[in-house]
Amino acid sequence: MHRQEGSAEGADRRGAESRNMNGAIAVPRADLREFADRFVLQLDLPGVAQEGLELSLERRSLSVRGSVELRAPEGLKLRHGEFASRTLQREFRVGDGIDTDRIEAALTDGVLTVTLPKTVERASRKIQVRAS
Amino acid sequence: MVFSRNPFEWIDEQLGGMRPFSARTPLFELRRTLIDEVDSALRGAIEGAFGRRVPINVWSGPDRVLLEAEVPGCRQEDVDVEVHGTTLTLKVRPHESAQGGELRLAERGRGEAVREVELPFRVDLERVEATLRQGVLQVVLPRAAQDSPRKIKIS
Repeated sequence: MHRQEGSAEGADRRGAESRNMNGAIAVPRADLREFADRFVLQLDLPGVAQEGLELSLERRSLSVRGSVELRAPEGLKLRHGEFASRTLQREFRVGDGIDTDRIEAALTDGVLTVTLPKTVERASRKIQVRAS
Repeated sequence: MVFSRNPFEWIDEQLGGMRPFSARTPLFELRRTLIDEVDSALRGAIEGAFGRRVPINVWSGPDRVLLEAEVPGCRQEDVDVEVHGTTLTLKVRPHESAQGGELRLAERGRGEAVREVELPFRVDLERVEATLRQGVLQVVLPRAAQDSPRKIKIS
């Protein structure tokens, strides 16, 4: 373990994810897998409770927002810090090939799994032309 | 493995912190895609070279130490905590929570990780308690009784 003075502040106290300049917002890491009939998106959201998670779809944009709230344990001092309270936020564009009505999500062990079914392509059909 | 600096942060700095998505012009979209591609490839290379990253916090007081670690996707059987003397070793076994399909984006760590922490005092191994919730591991290590400072009576 490093014994850095003032490790509670500055570079040493950053989270696992890439961060923007704000410092309180981080981009969670993701995996995306494509299957024949669906995409499966997985996001690392350690410390995010179900109540602290927002998942929304607006037009073709899927947005994930989870808050990590850490409290200092009573009577203890931080000797070494690499992660802290923050908001994990990321947006994904959802293409036309996704059936947005059937998107499903589950949060397990700090990982959000979003299943995005592909639209079922309709078999070509004949269109009857009626004589008027 | 102990990093003095997060390698991903360095990359993000080099990329100019352009990751958060907001602008939606075609050029911005293209730039974003390009950055994501480069970022993803670099992350992959670093994952391969350094293994999985496990950020930790170490809290201490006069009577106990608390170790916290972010281990998203880990179940109990994926994590090992060992204490030898005053050295705590945290091991995370490689595992995959999803399988199959074609990986289009692979940023999440999936390799093995080992972290070592030097504890400020000897701990009572019988009373060590570890919990795993929402991908966060918490280990409470009470100080060993014989290690606590004692007043010596002078007669």
